[in-house]
Amino acid sequence: MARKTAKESILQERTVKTPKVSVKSDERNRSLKKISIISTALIVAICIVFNILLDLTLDKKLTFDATSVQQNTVSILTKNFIEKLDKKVEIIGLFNRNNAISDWKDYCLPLLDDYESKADGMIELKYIDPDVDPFILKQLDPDNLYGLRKDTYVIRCGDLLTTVDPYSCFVYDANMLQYYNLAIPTTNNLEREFTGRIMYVTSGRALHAYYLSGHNLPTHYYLDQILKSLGFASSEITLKGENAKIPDDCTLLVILQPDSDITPTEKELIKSYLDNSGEVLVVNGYDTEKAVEYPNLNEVTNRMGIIMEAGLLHENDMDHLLSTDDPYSFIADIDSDYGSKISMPANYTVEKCRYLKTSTDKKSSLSVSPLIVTSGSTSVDFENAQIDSAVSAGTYPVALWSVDSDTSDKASMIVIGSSSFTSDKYYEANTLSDNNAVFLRNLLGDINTIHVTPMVPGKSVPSYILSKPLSSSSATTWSVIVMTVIPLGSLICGVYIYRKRRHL
Amino acid sequence: MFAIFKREFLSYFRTPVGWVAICLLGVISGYYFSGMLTTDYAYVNINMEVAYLRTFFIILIPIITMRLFAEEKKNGTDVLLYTMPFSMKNAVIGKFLAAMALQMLMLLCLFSHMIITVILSGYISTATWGAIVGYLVLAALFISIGMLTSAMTENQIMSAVVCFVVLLFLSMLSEIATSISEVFKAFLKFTHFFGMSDSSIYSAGEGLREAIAWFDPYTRTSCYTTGVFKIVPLIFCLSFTAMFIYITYRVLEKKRWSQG
Amino acid sequence: MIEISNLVKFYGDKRALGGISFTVNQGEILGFLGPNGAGKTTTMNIVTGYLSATSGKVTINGYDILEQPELAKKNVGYLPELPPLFLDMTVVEYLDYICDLKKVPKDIKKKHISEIMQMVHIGNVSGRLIHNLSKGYRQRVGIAQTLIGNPEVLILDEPTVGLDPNQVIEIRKLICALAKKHTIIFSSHILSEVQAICDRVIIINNGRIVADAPTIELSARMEDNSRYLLTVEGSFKDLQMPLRAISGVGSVTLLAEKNGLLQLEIVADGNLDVRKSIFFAMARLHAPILEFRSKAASLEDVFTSITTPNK
Repeated sequence: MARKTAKESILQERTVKTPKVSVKSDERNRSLKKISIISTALIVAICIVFNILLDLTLDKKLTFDATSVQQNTVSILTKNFIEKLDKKVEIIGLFNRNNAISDWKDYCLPLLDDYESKADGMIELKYIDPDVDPFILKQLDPDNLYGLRKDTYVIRCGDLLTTVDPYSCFVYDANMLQYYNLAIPTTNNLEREFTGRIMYVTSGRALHAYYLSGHNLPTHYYLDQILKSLGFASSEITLKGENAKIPDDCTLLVILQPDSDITPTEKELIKSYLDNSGEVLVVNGYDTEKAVEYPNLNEVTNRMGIIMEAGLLHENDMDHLLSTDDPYSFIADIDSDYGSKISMPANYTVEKCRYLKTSTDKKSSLSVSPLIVTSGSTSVDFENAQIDSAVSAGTYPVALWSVDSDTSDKASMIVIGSSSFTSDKYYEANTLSDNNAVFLRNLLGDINTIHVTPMVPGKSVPSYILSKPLSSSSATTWSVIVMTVIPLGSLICGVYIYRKRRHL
Repeated sequence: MFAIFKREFLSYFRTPVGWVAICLLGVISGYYFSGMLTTDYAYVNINMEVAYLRTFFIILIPIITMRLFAEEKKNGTDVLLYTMPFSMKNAVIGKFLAAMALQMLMLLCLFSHMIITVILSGYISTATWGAIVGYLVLAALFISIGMLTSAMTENQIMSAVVCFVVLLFLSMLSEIATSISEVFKAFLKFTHFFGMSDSSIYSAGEGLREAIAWFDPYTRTSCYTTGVFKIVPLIFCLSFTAMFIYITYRVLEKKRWSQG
Repeated sequence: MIEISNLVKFYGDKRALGGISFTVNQGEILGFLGPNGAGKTTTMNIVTGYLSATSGKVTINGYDILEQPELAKKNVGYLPELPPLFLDMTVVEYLDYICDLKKVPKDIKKKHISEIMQMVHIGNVSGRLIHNLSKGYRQRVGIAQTLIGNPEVLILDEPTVGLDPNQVIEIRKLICALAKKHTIIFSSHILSEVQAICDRVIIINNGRIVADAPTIELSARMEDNSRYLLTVEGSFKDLQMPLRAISGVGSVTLLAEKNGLLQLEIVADGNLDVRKSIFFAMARLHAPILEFRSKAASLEDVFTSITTPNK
């Protein structure tokens, strides 16, 4: 019996003692679960709220320009200008800034953000999608004067309003466009454009340049750019019609390389425009192959004391020639008197310059001054070889400026004897950072009392095209190297290690 | 943490996974790069290559992350993670860093292309470095998502598929947002909800679209490609990465209290 | 050393553990015995912190596994049923990894690993891939893993399952050797194994402890001289009555009859030793006894005998 009791003592009947338990977990488990779920939810919520707040407050401040050419930052010139703004400027982008990515937005949005942040509250940047708010266009431009459309910017200050189409603010690689139909920007003129427009709207004066059409007006994209950056709106007018007149808002009349003389009607209109304190820019290079006489136009220039002769300046100073075999393309200098008044580059490239001279019997109220002059050893070639007795080797003007102090608001005229200051062909080769463009800009800015510090240069967009062209065979070689070395190398390593380890 | 990192990182190279991933990225990026080289005009923009590579995250990330936890669960080695004297946090962070390190190693392809570009007299913008930073933070975000799916699923294939679907969803988020807002607008129009006017329906729909698209990590980080270096998207990606790492930790830690 | 109180675990609605409490003292080798599905693995998983309990408490060395997991786990080496091996690593790489996990200082790591490899006799496979090792070796690597960091407690879940007899013996030897320095909890569903190794046995069935006793006491129970197997020549008809007539014999059951050989099970009443009487009785009947042994109690028998009230 003793054994039996011993056995019983071993075999504690635990099953009986174990209390019935419910499925409910104990307190600790529940609290762990609670902590886990609540903390996860909390972290998710904090994460989202934190990011939303950050997005709303610091996004713009914590944006930096990582480009090598400071593509997204305004230059010091613009910075100085917008820091001194005393009028509120509104810049309204007519699209949703977060929508659809396009190339120009990549450049435009950050740059304008920079404008806004540097203007100390004087520039207000807004993005309104006309699809969302169909009334915005009507509200901005009730008379539909500007033809506002989506994906452009409106810049407004008081009553003055102007638009910018960002796509057209780039110079695209002509070759790529032509051969591959690719719009690859080479120059970014956004800042020039926007700064110019802000200057214009804040100047309080609507500037409008009109090109005289009807005489085979050449393309004038680059001149437009120069004018635009000064705040000029530009358009073409013809003065040939019956009731033609020069519009009242014409600030500047541009007569660009007319291939025929102006008509008597045009002559009269322009003369009366000058009498009313108008401002005229005449650009008339000399083309020996199409030597056109301009009696009517000359009558207009003569009104301001300037005569355009049918002669071509011939540079004899080898130091001033661009190439030894072409005496008609040369370097001209800023007139020292004028250069001392306003900061201007010293040298300009001049091609085929017309012989200009100051009329000897001009009105006394007229003051004609040279702006750009040739070297001291320039002569004039005449088509009919009829040598003007007065013409001998010496210094000749390339550009003349005449002001009539008799007219109430000082009529003025600029005559430039060479197309190399305005032609698209010239600027395509030399870009708008060329001295010639700087000259024209400063001159027009000076005449129109637009305070232009040196022009905002266009930013060259770095080219990703290999600077040394790659032959197709070496391109293929490199491709093969690229495609094989790393992938095959890693594959071989992988297989080698795998095989080696497999049998360990 | 370093132990886990070391094992996990080496394990990529003990098994073919790491090699295959590098090979795959090498082929993809090499294809794009040689495509740029062999065009008639030899237009070589590394930024664009980085942007292009981003679209392959939906394939590459699941490959890298699928095994992180799913394989351990399958082999029963996850016992080690739970019974060893260290916090699960370390395991999660260690594994994340290992995947991240592999991702960085994969960028060797890109660096080799940059070197070749320099040799071939091409231009490398400083913005490229920004783009690479953007690429890496996006990778970090996606790796943390992949790691979470790996922790939540039992086998690798399942984990890879789920991760792929999630990443696909994220890459199409902007488009999805647009369609959702369209449906939402149509619904409001149809039901004449509170007699809303057309324009307010439109703005409600736009608001919804923007709210959904706000989360789109691809759009957020696209600015780096164009040379805009923003800090906020970095914080966005990294904070959400941290969030997903934390959720992964909580999912694994669930074993401590779950009754499953 | 280890205190487990009132451990309950539900998998969904299914109860796996229904309130288990026991204490393991320092230096003890505890056999954890039970049929498959009894809750052995669940208990061990909970003790090591791999699973959570629905309720109940586990403390190791005074540290609660839930509240101070790192301190508690530091003292434990765990070998689950499926050894947690990375098949893509070599033995040394693997052990090195475990050292890192257990925070074994760098300077003694190498020495530590080689000591352990010597102890479990895996020095000869140290450079091989775990994938290519046989089951016995893998099990040993698993045990080596538990030894890293010199934990005071080893928890081994069915370490001998699926091994061939020689390997089983080796592993048992190994465990016996380890027992000198460690507290061991060791689970098995094989009675003899537990008997051979353990100081103390806990028998668990259906998630409940049915017995908790020193092995010696349990062994006595196991060798309970009340059931015998008898093989004799003769016919059941002739032998049945005389056998029953022997005082102390309770029942005689025919298990098999073949070629004039009978296999009988004899259950004795009480504690009387009936063996001599049977021997002489058979001799008298000229029925030669070819085999006569007390029947070893199977695990199931033990359960039935423990869980059903004694006759």
